[in-house]
Amino acid sequence: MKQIAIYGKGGIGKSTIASNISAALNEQGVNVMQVGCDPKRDSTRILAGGHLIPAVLEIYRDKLRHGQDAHAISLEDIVFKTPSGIYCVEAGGPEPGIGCAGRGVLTALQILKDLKAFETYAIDVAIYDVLGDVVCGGFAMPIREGFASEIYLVCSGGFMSIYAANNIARAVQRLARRGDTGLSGIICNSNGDDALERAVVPVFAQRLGTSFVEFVPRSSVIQACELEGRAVVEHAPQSDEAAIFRDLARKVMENDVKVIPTPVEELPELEELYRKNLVKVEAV
Amino acid sequence: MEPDERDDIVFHGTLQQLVEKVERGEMVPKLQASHAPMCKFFTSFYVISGIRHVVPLVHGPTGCPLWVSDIVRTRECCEFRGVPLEPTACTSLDETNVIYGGEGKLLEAVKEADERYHPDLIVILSCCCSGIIGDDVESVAREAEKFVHARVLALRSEGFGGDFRSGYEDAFELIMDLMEPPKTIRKRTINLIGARMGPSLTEFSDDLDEITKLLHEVGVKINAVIAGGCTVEEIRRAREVELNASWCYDWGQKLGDAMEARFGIPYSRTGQPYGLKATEEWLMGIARPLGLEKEAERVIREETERIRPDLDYLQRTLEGKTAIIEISEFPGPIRALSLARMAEECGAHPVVINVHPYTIKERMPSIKFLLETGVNPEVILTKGLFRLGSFRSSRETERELEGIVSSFDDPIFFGNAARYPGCPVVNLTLLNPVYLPHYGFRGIHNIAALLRQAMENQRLPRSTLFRGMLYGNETS
Amino acid sequence: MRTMPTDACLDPYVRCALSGAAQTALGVSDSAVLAHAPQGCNYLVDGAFSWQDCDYAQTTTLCTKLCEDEIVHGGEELLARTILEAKELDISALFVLSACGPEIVGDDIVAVCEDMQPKVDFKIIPIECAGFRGSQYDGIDLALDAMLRTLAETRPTIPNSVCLVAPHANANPTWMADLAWVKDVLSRLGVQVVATLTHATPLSDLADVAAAEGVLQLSHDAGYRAVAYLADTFGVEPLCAELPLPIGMTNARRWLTSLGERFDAEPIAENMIADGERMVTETCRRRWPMARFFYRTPAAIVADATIGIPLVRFATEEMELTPALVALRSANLDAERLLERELNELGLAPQVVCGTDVYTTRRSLEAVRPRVVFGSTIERHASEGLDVPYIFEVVRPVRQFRLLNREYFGYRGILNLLECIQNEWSDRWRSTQRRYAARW
Repeated sequence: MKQIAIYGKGGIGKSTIASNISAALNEQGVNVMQVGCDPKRDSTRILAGGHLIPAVLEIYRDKLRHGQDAHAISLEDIVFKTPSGIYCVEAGGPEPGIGCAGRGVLTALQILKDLKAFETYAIDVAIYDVLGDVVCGGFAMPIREGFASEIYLVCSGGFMSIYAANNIARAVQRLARRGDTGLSGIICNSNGDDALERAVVPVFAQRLGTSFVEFVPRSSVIQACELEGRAVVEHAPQSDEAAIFRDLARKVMENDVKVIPTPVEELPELEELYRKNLVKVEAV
Repeated sequence: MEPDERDDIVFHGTLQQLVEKVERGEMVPKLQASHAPMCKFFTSFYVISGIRHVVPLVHGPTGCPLWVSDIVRTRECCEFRGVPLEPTACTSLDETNVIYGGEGKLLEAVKEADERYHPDLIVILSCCCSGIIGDDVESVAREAEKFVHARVLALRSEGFGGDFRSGYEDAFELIMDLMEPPKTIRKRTINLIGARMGPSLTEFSDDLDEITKLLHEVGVKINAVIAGGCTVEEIRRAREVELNASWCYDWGQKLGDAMEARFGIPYSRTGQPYGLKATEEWLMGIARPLGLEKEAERVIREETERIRPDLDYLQRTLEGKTAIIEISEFPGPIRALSLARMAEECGAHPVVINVHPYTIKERMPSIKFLLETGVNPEVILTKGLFRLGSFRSSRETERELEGIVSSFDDPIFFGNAARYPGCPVVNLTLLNPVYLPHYGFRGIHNIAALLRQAMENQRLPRSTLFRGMLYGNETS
Repeated sequence: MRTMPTDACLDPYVRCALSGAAQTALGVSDSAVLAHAPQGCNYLVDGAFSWQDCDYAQTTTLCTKLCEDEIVHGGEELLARTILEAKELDISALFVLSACGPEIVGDDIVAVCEDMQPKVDFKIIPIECAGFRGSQYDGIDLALDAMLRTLAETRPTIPNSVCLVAPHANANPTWMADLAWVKDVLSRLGVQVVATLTHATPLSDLADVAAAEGVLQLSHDAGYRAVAYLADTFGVEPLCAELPLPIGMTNARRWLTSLGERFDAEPIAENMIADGERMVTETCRRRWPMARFFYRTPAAIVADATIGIPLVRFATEEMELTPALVALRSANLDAERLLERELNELGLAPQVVCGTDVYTTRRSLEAVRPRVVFGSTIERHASEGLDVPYIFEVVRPVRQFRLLNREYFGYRGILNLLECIQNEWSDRWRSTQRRYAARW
């Protein structure tokens, strides 16, 4: 079984990438489970036909209010299968500004593990779609032992998104030293500045010691699918974009490389790396 | 007044019906008055402390280990149990650690603990702080093993993360990681599982002595009492046995089931050996799979003969009586229910009073098991049980108990001497060593003696001093 | 030589801040304590309950019993509901104490208490005292701070009056007797006690505390911050601040003399000293305590600073022991300085450990090899195999049950200590192992 986690700056399109990989893998006959690890609980929205599925912590809370505990939760309560056969789970979490979202992720994933979700559904690939940044210990839960060991970073050509990716790489570096977790690649979700992105993201990937896996263009097809609450391979199966996601899914499937990343330690170095490529592109 | 006419009764039905209500979530209000049992951390700590030469390393501030180690290690074990002062280690997390994470400190602590105490095993126990900030104790344990001589395991035991039950269940499951593939199977050897006869407040060695004696008479050898003062080596070899038997179904079942599922070691599922029938079942449940039926039958025959007068007395005295059984800390819920079965066996009609729904919830697997084995007594819960404040609650339940007892014909109260109903009081507290054990044949003898004491002395005056102490002087 | 244990791997003597805060809050009469905590932490409150000698017929403790749900989603709502439950109690104050969990996830107990205040007719006092904020002594300081800041008001000074701070930060298992002795002494000196922070203290006393002319700190472990606050904010004068607490002849004499001078009651103080010293000497003459046979035996003192520091002089002067190890459970600079002064005055150079833990105690005992130890049951077991013949159990936890309170302060205090020593001495000589069987 393969378990991958997708990290990146908030709003960069992790859920879109994750969901489209899930859908493409599913199309290729792989048994997929996507686990949303964000209190917003909208990771699986486009897999679930534009709906929000009930979250693990919500169900748990409901049980507790009825005097029951985690023992009373069953897999049927928290795992939802889409008509096309993708298993979806949303961790859920507190309302903004209260409680502890990190602990929420930790708890939800533990429940999933205790209930032997992956074994029960004979999952081939589990994809964890994690909140914007590794802000506290709880958000590292998806890459602990027993969960994802392959980590993909999603970024665009925006400097802050690369900066965020570098920060996440630092967390990965720390965790990877300890276990068999590692960075497996960088996916570029374009914000439209193709030339810059094609220049800077591969260089950044190289700097981290990992590979540049895929360039996902900014596209109205993807936006339209998003709006409809459908995956690209389902809603626009003949599109170029669908082909890109199929390709990405295949690469993810075949990629077994995991490295301990070598993130940029000082901000000026990262700025310099970025500036060089910016100049290069402008010169062209 | 008949029980059902009383307005202080909030539930009157069978145990089965109460369990169903609890399962529907009807009777477990998150009230102050619902009693607060130990948190997950405590029961985890209890189990781990039952292993010799182990350092429980608490990853949290100093409050968490201290309450338990004060009670469990320092006072209880050293003073009463003959256990030496064993170390408790704590990372004493402070505000800075909470903000920046405490994994580094934890790793250092493991190394130090190993150097200082030369333990066979270090168990990292997380508590609320480390659980919330998300310190990855399992990975630290794995990493630490590279640096130290001891085995290092980690248990996620944060107090808010589970109840009483989850604490010992998780701890027992963790211990299984120490069990090595068997090189040989030792004939007629078992593990007694579910005890925490080491430093813990709740178990009593007299009971263990009795069942150990019986097992030896039958010819059964014991590899380990897990985790009742066993060694790490004994746990390593735990898979060499032919059978697991539970010391207490409540605490033992999880380990029994898990070892059966993971290692294929059969597990003798029986209740506690309270009374003749349960003792027979307990002993035969072990002897039969080991091929020692004849020996066990002989032991049972001889022992039964020896206590024949006690059995006759119990039968003669309890026949046709109502046994009002109150659940309290000592003897505790499972023992009280085992006693209900014993009373029924002797011809009495058992009525269990005030078993808290919270207790039912926490002990659900064992209560369900008791139901399966036919233990389904009448249960009465009164209003006072749900009253805010332990004094108000105990005073009110005392008053209610006195009323309820008087509504039954020929009642005998089984509980402890802190109650003053107008009927014979069988003092089953486990805190009076004179009448221990309660398990097995000697247990029957002791319970008969307690009953005799209650019946023959029922007219003697009770202590107004202790009553006033417990319930105040205005209640007379 | 001075050592401090490391803090990565500690086997602690001292509990966490929540525990100390609960000890302090439960010293206020007609109040209840609500622990905003998982249920396990409530056991610390239970411990504090007995520490303050509370009566369960009068004092109730509550707990929000936080579970996973309240940690993930926040527990403010549950706290508000639980505060309302306390309405059925007949109390004048409710102390709301927060534990680690809710403080990390950011429950704002102060705001909840403010919101709920109009809905109840008792005073709600929040104390943020998560365990990770420090030791039990820090918890006492946090609670005293919260009480003084929310309750103490400016009042006209009452002449010849004092308030007493942190009597409960004292490891004498029946420290209430020490407090009672202090109160008795003060009343004989004609000094009024305005408030005690805290033991069976009415809420109104807390409001009046600043009326005191002076403040007497009854602990070397906690209360420094409260004394400073009272002095800085209300001009209350710290008394006997540079003196060890009155355990033993010299300490008692110095302490009483200082108070007598301050309150113009020297003759009364002198009489008390003379009567006390005579009473102790005559009692000993009648009973002949064996403590007189320990001449210059090397001794260890393992205790809190409150008992431990004054014991140094008692052991050296009254008992003629030679302190070879002084291990204090708490570590604060004021106490350390006081100890240092005492050691210098007495010409002693024992090994000193501040903020000791059980491991450090064991190692220090191994290194120093004292033959008598003043300590607790823990030291009895921690000295196993070290050939320490006498363990005088004088600080918590002790094995011997006490139904009556016994003070260590003052003159009867000396007798109480000598009695502990005598009983240990007799136990040491009791042997059933060497006996032959009698022909009964």
